[in-house]
This record gives sequence, structure tokens and C-alpha cells, in this order.
Amino acid sequence: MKLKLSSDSLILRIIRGNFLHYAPIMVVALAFGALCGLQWNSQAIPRPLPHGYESGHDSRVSLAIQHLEAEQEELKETIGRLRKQLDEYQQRAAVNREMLEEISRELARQKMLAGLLAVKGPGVQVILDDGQATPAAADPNVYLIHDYDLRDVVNLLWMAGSEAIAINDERVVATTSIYCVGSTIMVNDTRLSPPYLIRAIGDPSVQEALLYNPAYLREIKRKAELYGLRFEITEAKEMTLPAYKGSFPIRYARLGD
Amino acid sequence: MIQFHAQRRTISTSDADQIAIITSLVEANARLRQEVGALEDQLREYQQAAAGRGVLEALVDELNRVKIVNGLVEVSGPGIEVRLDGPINALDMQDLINELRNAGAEALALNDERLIVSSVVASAEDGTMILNGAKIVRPYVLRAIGQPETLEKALLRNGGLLAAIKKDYDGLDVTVTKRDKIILPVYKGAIAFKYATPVD
Repeated sequence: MKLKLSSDSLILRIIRGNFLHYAPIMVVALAFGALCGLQWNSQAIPRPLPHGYESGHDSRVSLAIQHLEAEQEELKETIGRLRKQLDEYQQRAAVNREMLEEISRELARQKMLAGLLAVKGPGVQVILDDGQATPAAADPNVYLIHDYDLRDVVNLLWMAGSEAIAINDERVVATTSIYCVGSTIMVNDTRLSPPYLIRAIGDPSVQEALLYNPAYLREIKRKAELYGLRFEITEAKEMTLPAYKGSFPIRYARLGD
Repeated sequence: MIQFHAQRRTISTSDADQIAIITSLVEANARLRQEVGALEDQLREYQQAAAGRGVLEALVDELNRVKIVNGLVEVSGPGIEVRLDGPINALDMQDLINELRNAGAEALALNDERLIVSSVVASAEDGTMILNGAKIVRPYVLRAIGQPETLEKALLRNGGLLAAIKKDYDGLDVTVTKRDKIILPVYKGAIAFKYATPVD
């Protein structure tokens, strides 16, 4: 199909490729159009018509009012709905915040109890070490500190109301076992080497009363006397016990019944 | 066109009213739309915060786990039951508890008393035992939650603690039973820190 081209057709000239040549004209045309549009819009709503057109004019204006009123109603409904939703969120957030605070507080307390926090306070420290005398004919076992010796001291310190206990740098926690592999004592699956330093935070007078009580730790005291086993008790005004660094693998225990 | 309308601008009273109505409606609606936008923004923030509720759930999980360790919640699970009927020393009982902990016991109880970190089995004057301030009488039933086979093997191995205890006591009847489900009570004692304070 062959187009019939008129020489003054701007559009066609542009199509033909003389765009740049006509660019200034285009800019003016576009600006004019934009201006018209702007004017049109600003005039669009309050656009009175001659009285002769009254009825048509009225219906159009009242239609606009109706539209605007309907829009307003819708907006108000939306606002009402949003405010209600927001209020629910705000209340829930307040509850969550309270819960979060309470849980955080409780968790800190439980962590303290579990030995997951480093703690400081007064107490006693007990040093235990193998006997230095050379075993002659005697059983070499009597010169050594055994896992059960450490267990007995730790248990006695708990009995004395201690609040936190550590052996060397291992904190004694609920899952801690003190046992020996050969002649090596293990605590929290960590090898300890002598001397063994047992530190317990609590009331030193109560702790010492039990430690010195001849009814307790009889075996250790006897070995200390006979074989030079080291057993020393020192009061401490303030000491810091490290936090438990191991894990609490809970694989079988479930909450509740 | 613009010219055309400008020429004919003759406004009646009712027209003025209508214009006023429309103008106020347009303005009011613009304000309302702004309010909707502001409310939607706020709501979006709360919704995003609500999506972060996983934090709360993770905290609750952690809390429950630590409470299980601390003995401050009732727990259940598989494990073993060690029944000791006869005379036995509190220290040997304590060693037995240590043995079970060493074998991976996650929670323990002796008779109706949950064992927590500071629980010590002590001998009472009358030959019975005291645990958590409560009197424990025969038969002694030590229950542990954990991998049943592992716990059982630790106790029954040759030259193990239980073998030594059996040899040491005449008339001590010991039975070890694996259980699919054991329910351990919550620790009933009070816990307070008077001397220890956390280090930040």
C-alpha cells in the first residue's frame, strides 16, 4: 500500500527520518499539549456550564459529589479496618514484649542455675594433690587422688549449700560426671591434671565446718596424714568461677509426660 | 477550549455551593488517603515484627531445654530403672548416679526426688537416705532418661560399678530394667542464690 504523503505532514516527516530537523517543533507541540492537559484537569471538576445545560450540568456535578462521597465512605471504612488491625497488632506486640521480657529474665535465672554464666562470690577452695612421698612397699593407689575423692569433696560442698562449684577450670553442672580413665581424671569429658583445685561459692563458715568435720572425707584425711596427700582448705573473699563451656545434649528427655 | 470555558464562567449560588462541597470532599479524601497510607505503613512494621516472632519461640525452646537440665520441669523419655532393695551406702548411690551421668543420662530421679546439680544423697542416722531434704526409703528406685542400651551397658559391664556394689553388699537385690518411657517428677526444693552473682 502506498501512502499518500502531504508535504506539511509533520508526523510523516518524522517517520521519514528528519526527526532532528523537526525536534524544536515537537517540543513546542508537546509543551502546548501538556499545558492544555494541565488546564483541563484543574478546570475539570469545578466546571460550571451555562444555565441552558443546567440539568445535564447538575447531574454531572452531583455524580461527581456522589463519587467523592462514595470514595470518602470507602476510605473511612478502610481507616476503621486498619485502625482495628493496628490495635490488635499493638496489643499482641505488648503481650509479646511482656512475654519476651519475662522469658529473658527467666532464661537468665535458669542459665545461672545451669552453670551457663560465670559467677563470682565468696567461698572456699580446696586443693587436692597426689602424695609426694615415694611409695615403698605400699599400694601406689593410696598416694594418688582418685575420681571418687573429687566426687566426695564436691558432694560435701553441695551439702554445705554451695551455689556454684568448679574443678580446675571445669564448672560442675547437672550432667557433669567425675571419672577416671586409667590414672587420668576426667570432668565434663576434659582431662584434668593435678593439683586439683575445687572452688565453691557459698557461705565459707558452713563450707569449712563440713570440710573439717571428722565424720566426712575420712579417707582423704587419713591418706593426707599417712601418705602426704595434699588436702588444703582456703577461704576466699571473692572468686570468679568460669561458665560451663560444654553442651547439654538433650536427645531423649521430653517436656511433660 | 480553555478560552471557551473562561468566557462562560458565570457561577450561580448553587454552583458555588457545589464547588465548595466538591472542593472540601476532594481535600478531605486526600487527607483520608494520606491517613490510610500512614496506617498501612505502621501496620506493615507490626507485620514485619510479627514475622520475627521466631525469636520468641527460639527463646522458649532454649528455656525449656535448660529447665530440663535444671530439673525444673517434669520430663519423660526412654531410659532405665535400677531397683536396689537392701542395704546400700549413700556414697555408693552417689557413685551410681555419677556412672549414669557419665553414660549420658539426661535426667535422673531417685524414688520421687529429681536429681539436680546440687542434689546429694546423704546417709540418715537411721540408715535410710536423705535427698533434697526428703527421706528416701527402700526399695531405692533410681531412674534415668537417656539411651536405654547405653545406660544399661554402662551399669552391667564386667568389673563395672554395679558388679562391685553387688559384691560389697550381702542381701542387696539389684535389678536393671530398660523402659520405653519414664516420667520424672519436677524438683520440688527451693533455689536461691545468696552468695553467687553473675559476672557480666
